[in-house]
Amino acid sequence: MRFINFIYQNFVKLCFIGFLIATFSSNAETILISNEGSDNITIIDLKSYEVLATINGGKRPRDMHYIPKSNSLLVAASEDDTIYRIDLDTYEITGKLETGDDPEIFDISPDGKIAVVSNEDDNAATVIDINSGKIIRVIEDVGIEPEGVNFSPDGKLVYITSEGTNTVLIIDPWAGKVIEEILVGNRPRRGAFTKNGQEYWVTNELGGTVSVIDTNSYKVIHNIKFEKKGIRSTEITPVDFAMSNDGKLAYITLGRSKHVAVVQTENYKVIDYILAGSRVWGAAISSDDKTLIVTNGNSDDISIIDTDKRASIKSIAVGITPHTVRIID
Amino acid sequence: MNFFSLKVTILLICLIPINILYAQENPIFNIGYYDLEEDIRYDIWGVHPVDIRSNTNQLYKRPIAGAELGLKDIKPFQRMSKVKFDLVKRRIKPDEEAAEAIYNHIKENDIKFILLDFPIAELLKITNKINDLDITAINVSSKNNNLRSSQCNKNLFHTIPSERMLSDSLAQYLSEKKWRKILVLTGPLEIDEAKSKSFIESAKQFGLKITGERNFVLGNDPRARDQNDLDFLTGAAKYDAVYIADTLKEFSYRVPFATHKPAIVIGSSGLIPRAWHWSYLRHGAPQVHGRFERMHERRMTEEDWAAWIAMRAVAEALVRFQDNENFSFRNAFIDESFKLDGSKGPILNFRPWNRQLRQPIMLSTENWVTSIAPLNSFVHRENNLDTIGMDNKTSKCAN
Repeated sequence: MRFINFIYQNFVKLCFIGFLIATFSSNAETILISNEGSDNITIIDLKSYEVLATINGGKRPRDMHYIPKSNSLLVAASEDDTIYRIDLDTYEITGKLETGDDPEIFDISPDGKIAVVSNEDDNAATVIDINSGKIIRVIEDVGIEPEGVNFSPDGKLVYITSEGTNTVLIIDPWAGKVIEEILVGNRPRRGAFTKNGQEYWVTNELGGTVSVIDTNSYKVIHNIKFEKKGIRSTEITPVDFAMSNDGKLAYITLGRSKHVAVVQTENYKVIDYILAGSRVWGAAISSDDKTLIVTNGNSDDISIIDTDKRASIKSIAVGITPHTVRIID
Repeated sequence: MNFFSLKVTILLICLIPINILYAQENPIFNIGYYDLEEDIRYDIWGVHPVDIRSNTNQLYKRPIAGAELGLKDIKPFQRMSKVKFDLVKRRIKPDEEAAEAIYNHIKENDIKFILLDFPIAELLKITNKINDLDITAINVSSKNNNLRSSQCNKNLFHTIPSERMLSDSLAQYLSEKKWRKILVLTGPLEIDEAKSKSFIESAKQFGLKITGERNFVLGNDPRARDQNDLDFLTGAAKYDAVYIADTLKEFSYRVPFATHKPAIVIGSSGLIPRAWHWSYLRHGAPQVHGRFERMHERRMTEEDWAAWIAMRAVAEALVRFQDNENFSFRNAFIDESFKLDGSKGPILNFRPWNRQLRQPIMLSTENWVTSIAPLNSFVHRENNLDTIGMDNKTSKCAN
């Protein structure tokens, strides 16, 4: 009874302490998940795997990028036609960027000045000034249903995957020009540069492969195929990447097959398949390369994968249709 | 230099860059699109003063709209295919001989590929006539099973599913739900009879029991009430589901919630098997719906989808196969590595034995996709999509 009295009398103080703890912990090592079906973002502690908070993410939040300088998060809210800036100290939306219609995937230039977003319904890419939040230019005709967007490591070019035209378009976002178009497999979803910047890898969701593009010659130099006993080839639907920070491995989510492929980057050899959840797609890896986290779009949870054991060690329920995962550590 | 030669020089200088530009432009690739001015499938009813079929209606909405979206969607392929796509349309008038008119139109307009929106009788005449032109055609609307079996043509491909694919999909669903006793109601048209026949074959294959077969007519004549009154039509039989084959739809719309015994209605109303439905929200389908609705201000039907995917098939074949030796659409379409993205889940390709596009079927109500066939519990040794429709053993295609 005395304890209850204590709480009752000190309610405001306790709330304040709680607020401080929440504020403090948001700066710690966290996992961020955008849930496109429930319009929110789940924030999870990277060490204890406790859900710290579930915050407003705008309508249909999908791709996210962390801005360390301001400890804020940029989130593409597709149905609000906006990228929101969320302050990770207060969990409040503090600003927004104009994006054009239906932004899904975006990337930020290495110098942090501009963002490029794909507008799936308009067959366009929009270049945005991050400081002012204003659109600088719209690059049209980047193929049907453009999706994956990646700045080249030198920040000069942007690679965009076009799901409907089965191509990768290389654009100069600073001049607003299409430079090159490369035919890859069917329904290219996402791309990732290898750590040395020499190759750009693309997942072909319906082709069931990964195309490797040489960033000097703009030619497809290799196709990575996936085969596992007991999984039909039609179930293998690659979507997202996590490239290990040591540059040696690529983790590739294989959608309906419920597995994540582990590929050696030097020889394109698939060395393992890790079981995750239903329609596994989004992926991110911790900076020490020890923890891989993937979102399972059909079971509303994420899988935590120990990369030494190459096994899922825990699954955590999040919001509806978890889309993107980012790790801040 | 006198004034005249100066003028000529300027003119020449001006012309040169235009010539160079013109020379660099990709050659035009004409795709022909043919349909009938008078086609019973596009008859108008239920419109005045209120369109009772509103979003759901299919009749009088022609799939050429899907081909038009297809043309827009394959324009970005031009950089890779090195041709400039165009759609050349020709609607056949009632007093014209369709096969003759199309034959001449193809020859006069340098058409390299055609899409056909015709009932089976015209389709057979047209494909026979154009055989010597060595042109490849895609059927975007006739679901007739014979076109995929006893009456197939080596130059005719089908992107619209066959009746058998649709009825197999329903039968899989009923079988999984254990709704095994089915009453079959058949409309007055030949095409209705073909639908019911196909469903009865599917029912047999998937272990369902047909507990009655009855023919209905539209009307109020009390002397024909056993054929026009639902209580009589659906009375005195045991059933879990009522299957109805009614191409014109006017009768079938009144069957759900009005059967003598409580039962689900399937076929032409109630739960309808379709190649495509606008309510499907996965696999990139909403993007296709969205583009279609912005272009045509109506819902996208399954025939629209069939015409749209036919256009994509042309572009896909050119982009990936035209550099092959002895390129032909016929060979490219049945090549093992030919893959088509139809925005409904798995990769699609043509069955080599009857040139039918393999595809999932959406079991849909008027505003929702309830299930997708093939259902997970039906497995085929090579491709699960072949659990619906005629496989290489049941199809009687000789060529």
